[in-house]
Amino acid sequence: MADPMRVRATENGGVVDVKILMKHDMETGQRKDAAGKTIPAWHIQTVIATCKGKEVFHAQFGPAVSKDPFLNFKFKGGAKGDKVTVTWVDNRGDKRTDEATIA
Amino acid sequence: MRRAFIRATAALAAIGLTAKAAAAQSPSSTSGKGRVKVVYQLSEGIDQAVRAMANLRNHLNAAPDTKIVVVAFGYGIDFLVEGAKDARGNTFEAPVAALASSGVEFRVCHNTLNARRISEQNLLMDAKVVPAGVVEVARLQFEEGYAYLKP
Repeated sequence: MADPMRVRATENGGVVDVKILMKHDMETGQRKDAAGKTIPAWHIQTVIATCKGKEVFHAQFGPAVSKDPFLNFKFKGGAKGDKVTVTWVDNRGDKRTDEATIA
Repeated sequence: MRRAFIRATAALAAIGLTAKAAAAQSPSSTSGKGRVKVVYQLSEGIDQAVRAMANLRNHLNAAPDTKIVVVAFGYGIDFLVEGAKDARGNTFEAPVAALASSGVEFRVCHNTLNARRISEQNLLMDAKVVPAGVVEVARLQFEEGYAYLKP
């Protein structure tokens, strides 16, 4: 199973700042291993963040995104104590969901 | 009185022996040949952290298979606080993230955070908080067979 993400959310002046550190190898499908065989592509395809059941962020990732991606975005309408839930799905259908409480 | 003292030292020596035996066994029992595991202690501030970054990079270049855990406490946590800069004005975010991607773990002492009134929220994302730095350094060496390095 995939490693957990680190999610951090802080509210300041009505704006919630969300920082996400995902753990993923993000294989591009271009690299070769020591034996010269191509390593198949394996990367995150979609990232979705929700707060109080509402989608606040939706991203499509491709092979150009680095290993262990870091993501930072802001949204309005969240309050301290609310939960932000982040989910990614990769091209093999693996999923990982983590959440953080807004501080 | 003297006899009690002798008995006490004998007991201590026995504890020492079993401890040594346990430490000697753990690497072989966890994985055949045993992957080299190293704990880096950082407790002396930014200059030490700069040295450690170079040490860690060189360590992983020469022996990529090494499992490395960095335990930071006291002034050693400074470089893991957001916005920390070295003497040349470079931040630590990029080198720490790069090392974390290659498998280095950064563990920060919770006692230090309390004592110095630093919020967990202000640490870099790659840092993980452990209850006590010194306990972690001792535990890794005693229970998990880590080698000890202080850059």
